[in-house]
Parts: sequence; C-alpha cells; structure tokens
Amino acid sequence: MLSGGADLFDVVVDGVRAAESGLPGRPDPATLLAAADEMRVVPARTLVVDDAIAGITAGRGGGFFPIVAVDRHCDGDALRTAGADAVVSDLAEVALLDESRNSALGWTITRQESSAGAEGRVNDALFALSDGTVGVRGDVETGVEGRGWLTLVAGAFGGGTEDGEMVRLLPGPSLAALDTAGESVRPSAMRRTLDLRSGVLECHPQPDDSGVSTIRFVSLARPGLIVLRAERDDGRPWPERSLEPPRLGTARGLSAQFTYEEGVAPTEWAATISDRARVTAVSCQQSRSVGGRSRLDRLCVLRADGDEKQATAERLLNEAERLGFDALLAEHRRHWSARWQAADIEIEGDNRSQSAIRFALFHLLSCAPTRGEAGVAARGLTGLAYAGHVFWDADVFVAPALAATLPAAARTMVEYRLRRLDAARRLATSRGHAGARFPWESAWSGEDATPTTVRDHDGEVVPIMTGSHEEHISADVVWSLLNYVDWTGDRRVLRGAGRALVIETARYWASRIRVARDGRAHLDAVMGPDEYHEIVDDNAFTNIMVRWHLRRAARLVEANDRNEAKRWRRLADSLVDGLDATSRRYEQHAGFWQLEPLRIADIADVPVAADVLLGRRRVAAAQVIKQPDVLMAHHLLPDEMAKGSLRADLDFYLPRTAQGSSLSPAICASLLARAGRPDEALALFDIAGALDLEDLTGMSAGGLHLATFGGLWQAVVFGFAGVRVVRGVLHVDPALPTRWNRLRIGLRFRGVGVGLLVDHERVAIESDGPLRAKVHGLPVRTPAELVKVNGAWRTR
Amino acid sequence: MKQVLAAIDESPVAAHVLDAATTMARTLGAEPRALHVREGKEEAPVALARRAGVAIDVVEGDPIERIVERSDHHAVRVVALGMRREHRPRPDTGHVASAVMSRAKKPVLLIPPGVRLPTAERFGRVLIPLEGSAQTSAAISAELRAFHREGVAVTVLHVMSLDTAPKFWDQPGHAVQTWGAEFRARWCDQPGTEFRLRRGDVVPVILETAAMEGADLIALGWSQTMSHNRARVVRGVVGQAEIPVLLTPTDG
Repeated sequence: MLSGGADLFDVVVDGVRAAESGLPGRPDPATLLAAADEMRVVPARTLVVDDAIAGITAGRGGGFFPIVAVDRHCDGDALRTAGADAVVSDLAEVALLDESRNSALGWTITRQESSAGAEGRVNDALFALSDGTVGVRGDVETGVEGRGWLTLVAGAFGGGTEDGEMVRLLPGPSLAALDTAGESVRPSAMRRTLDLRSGVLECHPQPDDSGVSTIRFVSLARPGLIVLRAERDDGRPWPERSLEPPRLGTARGLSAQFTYEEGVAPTEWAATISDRARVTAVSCQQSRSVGGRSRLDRLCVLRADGDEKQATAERLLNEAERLGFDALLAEHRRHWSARWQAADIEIEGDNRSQSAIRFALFHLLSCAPTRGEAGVAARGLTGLAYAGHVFWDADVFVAPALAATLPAAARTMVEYRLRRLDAARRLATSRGHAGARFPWESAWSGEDATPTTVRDHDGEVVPIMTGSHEEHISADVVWSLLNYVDWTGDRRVLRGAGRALVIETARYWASRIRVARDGRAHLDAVMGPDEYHEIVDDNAFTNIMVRWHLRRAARLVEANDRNEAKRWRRLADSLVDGLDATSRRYEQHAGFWQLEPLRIADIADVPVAADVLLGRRRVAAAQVIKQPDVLMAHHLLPDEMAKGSLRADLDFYLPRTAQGSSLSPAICASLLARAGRPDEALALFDIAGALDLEDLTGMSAGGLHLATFGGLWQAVVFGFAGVRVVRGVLHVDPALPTRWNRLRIGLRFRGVGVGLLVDHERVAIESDGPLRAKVHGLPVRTPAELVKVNGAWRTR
Repeated sequence: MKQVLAAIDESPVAAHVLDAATTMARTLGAEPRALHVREGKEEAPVALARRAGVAIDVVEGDPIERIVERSDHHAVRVVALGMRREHRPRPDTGHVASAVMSRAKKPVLLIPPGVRLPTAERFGRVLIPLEGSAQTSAAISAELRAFHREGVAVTVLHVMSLDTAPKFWDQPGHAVQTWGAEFRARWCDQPGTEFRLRRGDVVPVILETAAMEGADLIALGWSQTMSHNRARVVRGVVGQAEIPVLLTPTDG
C-alpha cells in the first residue's frame, strides 16, 4: 500500500488493485507483469526493486532484469539466492544504467534507419539473431520492397546439382510482415536496439510516429524457436497468417531454386523445398488488447527435413505456447546470462574495444548449438553470402573461442568434421592419395563445395584454385580438434572418431609429400593462407602445420603401428620449412625472396584488397601478401617456430601484408601483442572491431564475418592477455595497450571456470576449481595475484 | 511534349548534335528542338535544322546565358551540345559546352566531333558508370529508370581503382557475387540492368567497356564542379569518348 507520493507514478498496481483484478500476490509475478503491461515495457529490460524475498522471487519469475534487492534485514545472501542481480543497503547506491551508458559498455547496439537504404540491410545483419540451429534477420515490421526477412536453418542447403551451380543455404519460410494488404506501415524512421546481454532485439518507430513496435529473440533455451511480440496503436489489424514465402531482399534471384508450400492443419505451417532439403516452419499467433494498444504474440519453430521433424517442431511450438511470451523470455535471458557469466570480456578505459569484443562474443556465443553438430558457416546464420559454406574460418578462428568459453558448442563444431570424415576419405581417393583430405569449402554432405571458376573484376573467367590447392585445411581441422582437447581435457574424442580423423588426415599428408633424392621432403603445388600466391611449392605455413600434424598423429598411431609412426616422424623431420638461419625468417614459399620487393605502403593504405587494386598477376609476382601466412604459423603453433623468428617475421611480413582478408587484422594484432607491441596491435584490433560494425567491407549486409569475431577474441585472449595452454598448464603473459586500463576475461579450462583480471601493474587469476597455471612464467595457485615490482613480477 | 534541345552553331559538329538530339528524342519519347544563339549573321544553323525537319528558335545574346536560360524551361528534358577537342592531348570540351554542363540544371548530352551515332533510330545500349556514392547514383537514377522504361538496354559499370578499391576481398568466388549484389542494391536496384565490375584506371576502363558492350551512349552523374574525383572521370570520358555522353547533374 502506498503511503504517499502516489502522484509520482504513472501506473500503480498495489494490493487493492490486485485484489480487485483477481491477481495473485507475490511471489507470483502477476502484479509485476500487470504493471509492466500497463507501462508498455518489456520485463527483460525493466528494473525491479524490492526488499523482500517474495518480491525478488516474483521479479525473477516474471523475467525482469535487473532485480535489485534492498537489504534492510542483513539477509543479502538469501536475497541473492532468491534471484537478486544486485543487493544494496540503500537505494541511493543504485546507479541506473541508461541507454547511453549501456551502449558505452558495449551491452547495446542501437541504430536508426531513415528508410529502406543500405544502412537497413547492414543493420539486418548486425541485428541477426541465432541459436546456432536457426538464424533470423530482417525487417518484419514493414513490407518494404528490397528488404527481406530471412530465416536460415543450419545444414539445410539447395542447389549444386548442375554443373557450375553452387550449393547454398536454403532460405526458410518468413514470418509474415506485420503490415496488411501490402501497404507499408513503415514509420519515417525506425530505431532498433539489440541488447547483447539478453539476446533481445527491439524495434520502435521514432517518437511521434505511429507504427509497429516489436521485440524478438531466438530462444537459447529452446533451439529453433523464434519469439516475436508486436504492438501497435494505429487501429490496423494484424495479418491473419503468420508465415509467408521468403522475402529475400537483394538475394531474391535465389527464389527460383526452391519451391514454397503452406498449410493450416493441424498447425499453421509453411515449407521451402530444394533439391536437397526441406525447411518447415510451424507457427502460431495470438492478439489481444493491452492498455489501448493491440498486441500480437507470435511463435515460430523451424526445422529442416521430414515429417518427423515437423511433428517435433509442433510439440515444441505447443509447449512454448503454453509457457507464453514472458516465461519464454525469462528462460532465454537466463541462458544468455549464464553464457555471459562464463565468457564475458570487460575492457576498461576503451569503449570502442569494449563494444567490439562484446559484439563479437555475442555472435560467437550464439553461432553453434550445444548439441548435435555445427557446421559454422563463414557468415554463420546471419546472411546468405558465402552460400553458408564452411571454411577453415570455423576450425581455426571461431572454434578456439568456444573451446575456451562454451565447450559444448565447440564439441558440436568438432562433430561436424568427425561426421564428414568419409567424405574427406573420398576426396583424398579422388585425388589419388591415401587417407582423408577435407575440402576447402563444404556444406552439408562434406563433399567439396568450392566454386571452380569466377568472372573476376578484370572481366575474365578465372579458375579458383582454393578448392584444388588450399590443402592446409586438413591440418587446420586437426589443430582445432587438438586445441579443443587441450582446452577442455575431453580426451574421449581422441579415443573414438577423433583418433581416426587425426590419423587418416596424416595418412593423406604421408602419401602427398614428395621426398627428394637428398632426403628432404616437400609439398609441391599448394596454396597457403596468402591466396595472392596461388600455386606454390613448400608453403611454410602448410609445411609447418603438416610437420606438427604428422608428429601428433604419430603419437596416436604408435600403439597400433610403430612403423607408420616412425615413418611419419621421419617425414616430419625431413619437411623443409623455409627457415633462414641467418635472418631468423621463414621464406613464405620457395622463391618468395626472389619476388618483386614491394611494400604495401608504396601502394595504398591498409587494409586494401591489393589483388583487386593491382590485379592477380601483379600481386602474384610481388612480395605483397593478403594475410598472415608465415605469421599464421606463429599464431597457431608458436612452439614449432624457431626462437627469435616471431620478431624477425613480424618485421619482414607486416609491411608486406595488405590486410586484405577479413581474417587478417585481428591475427596480426594478436601476434603484435604477443611480441610486446600492444599499442601497434590495438590499431589493427580497431580495424577488425569495426569490420562489421562500420561495414568496412561493404559486404556486411550479406552476413557477418564470424572469423573476424573469433580473431578479435583470440587477439584479446591469446594476444593481449597472452593466454596459452602448454602441456596442460594455462599460461598467462599479458601485455595491455596503453588505452586499456584493465582487462577482465572469463574462460573455461578443463572444466574449471577461470577469471582473469589484468591491468598494467597487476594480474589476478581465480578459478572455481583446481587449476594448473603460470603467470609471467611463475607457477600459481588460485586465487593468485601478481604485481609488478621494479619491473619484475612477484606473487602477492 | 518534352523536348531534347539541340544547341547548334556553325561548327562542323552541329549536324551531329542535331542527329544525336533527334536520336535521344526518339529514345525518350520526346521531340527534338533546335536552338541557335546568333552572334553575327550566320544562317547555316537555321538551314541545317530545316533540312532535318527540326523546329529551330533563333535568339541573340551570349550563347552560354541563352542556352542555360532555355534549358531551365520546364519542357526541356535534355540539352544537346557539341564539343570541341582542339587542345589535345589535354582534352578541352570547349568554352560553351564546359560552361553549360557546369550550370544547366538539366541533363546535358555532349556530342564529340566525329561522333559515332547509332545506326538505328534510337539509342540501343547505355553504359552507366557508377562510383558508388549516394550523390551520383541519385543523379542518374531517373535517367536509368527512363531508359529502362523506354526499352534501352542498360549496363551499369563500377570500376575499382585506387580511390574505390575495396578494403577486403576474402574469397573471389564469393566476394564478386556478394559485393556486386550489395553494390547493386545500394546504387542501382533497377531490375533488368546488366552489371559489370572492373578494375583499373577509371576512364580507360569506361571507354573499353563501352566498346566491349556495344554501348552507343555513356551516362554519368556528376556534381558540376571540376574539382572532385568524379569530375576528373567526367572530364576524361567527355574528352575521349567517341559516342555521346549524357551528364546528369547531382541536383538536377
């Protein structure tokens, strides 16, 4: 009961009101939800303050966030247990996080769009939501021509059956636009805010504009479920159907490649059908009037393939419908909260870096499911660009972040490769070799999906050599698998299919390597990560990866076949790696030193697509490179590299690196930080951070660059924080850039939650279980804190 | 009916200007009309127009002022002018043409000496080079739609050069498609247009592409000031093209 000041509140739902309306009292959330309804606010973004456990429980049950408890009776622990996000002794301690502060902390991304322009399409990608099994993006609020609402289901592809046609992701049915009769109700300006903390996207017309407000999320708690709530006060009706054919926007040419079916029994459903897959959506919606506004709650479940899957989808839909919007949102938010708790990275002193890393983490943490398998595409499920194909981006750039934060998701990525080992065997056989070779690009089947020609910017039809020659991916897949094992300690995978994968791919290398008369071993005619030099001999990166791979595989095969292990070790020892003993530099490939000595600064500012600017032939004849190649070996296998070579290779190769690959700047940043040059590193980190947020590629509308996100995470964790796993021990050797005051990192290492806190004078490490760790080379027992005293690190 | 206004004088290119204006008028469903600004007692332009069956207005005064003044008339859709190239190798469009193209609020069709005009009655294919900026794309979009409406084949060209090279180009097999789709969506979302992506020095590539594509007209949007990068392209194309060039001002 209010004891005064009632006129200060726009909405009051008190005991009297609850009794009149038949609302159950606390701890039931009904009164809070009724108040939220009247205030037209979303619980997930609404602060609840209470001083009683019943009130905190009600807040939690209603999905409110944050919940602040005022501790008047010294029972803070009980309040926390009940679900309080924070406990204060006085309300004055509560500093409300306003929108701008949230944005500065990188927790929200807000964009305004004036019309259906380019910024709208880029924002569609930035605001794409996924749970790793389905992805959703676009504008459902209006039916503006040229914009699309896009749903994608992992693993559902079409095409590729005709010569020259590319297998590509199959767009699923769309959620029906919320306008009616085809007439746009798009406000003159729309404001969209993505709350990264809760994985919720809100869309509102600008103040003084009428139109539809929406809130949507893809449930992390129930994979495949899309939830949308819309409100309007313009008196217009909602569309009768909740599904419609895909609205593909700029990709509309694709619509010829699939058919669309729909029906209403027993549940409203629609399906897109390609020659390879079927994506079915089942959906329901319900409208009601709330506080003078009309509200629509719409649920949709997407599944690929088969009646059985549709039945499962219907069950999930019915269950979700029973729970209702608020409960679904509450559980979704709890899932996000858990993911952030394990993985968040806080960067104090630099809002730009903070926003970049949180945005990257958001998409990394939702790009792969925690069950089944995950072929994480170069653009994830955020767009149709790159056809949904899986590259080494998944294994080497994305997976390490998940292995160290969300191991179950990393495991599903490993599973994708394990289940495609037979296809890799077939590829090796087709090329006249033993063992297994993974394709440069793959889709669902695991067969090679790399395009073979392209009409390039010189107007010529040119062959694409990556599929035939960029073979290092087989070693990359193994690196990713063993990195997963290193971080998680999950050795079971190496006793099963993982063992076969490591050995079969090693067998491929053993049959692929040429041993010369002098006994030196070579890999001829390959392509390294620097794709400006297409077919080269003895690419240092490939050879070093293969050498390492053969040695690791020899350990696994030893028990069964000592001779094979011996042979692999001998091959590994004989493989040339291009190291020049005098300069301590690795030659990128045989003959690289003889190419035209060209520095990128002589041509243009980085980043630049030097192949586009200069043409393929010119860059092939010069020392200009696309991205780390020798440096990539330093990044992945630091212990395989000669002492002193990182510095020498950075000095030589960085001025020659165009950074023309979206994979490049973050990895260079990581290496510079490791080499003790963190301020230089930060300049490249900034480029990677802006890549999608500022659409530096001009292609973000086609989907987000997940590998760049993975690279950003690696730059922070492996680079600036200097984290590495060496023989089961977590090493931490940080080097922070001047602009950063403090860095906090959440990790999961071998089943133990780890918290790192780093500033310029101090490193603290804590864990929720036993941890083998070294900080600046000193063995520590957690919790531990090291401080810098006269330039040397000492345990406090 | 809208007019394509051919500003003609006694120069040898006048006959071509009249021909090109007539072709443009047929292409756009407009009527050709000639204008001669008399500076002396010349009669040839009037005779030329009469022979061609094109109505001509003769006025007196400063040619630049009179042509710009007439171009303001609501009926005038396009102004056609002849160019001079007397100071090669440095291209010079001629005093009057330069001034009019910089001041007229309507599209200006520039006819080079020795122009190759289409053998058909209408323009068959127009090449529209786009740099990828809101201003120039907006300038040309009305023309693009008009050509499309009138059944003229349109090839849109973007040339990647030092100024416009992308920062990132991951996998050529995908990037060409992805980048091209987004470029089109942003700058020329007109169904039915051909799109070409090329690399190199902008002006030579435009001229080569026009020849390769069999274009009989090049249309460019521009800001009407000679100081910007785009103006360098305009100056180069206008100075070297052998087919008519349609310049559309950004705020026209």
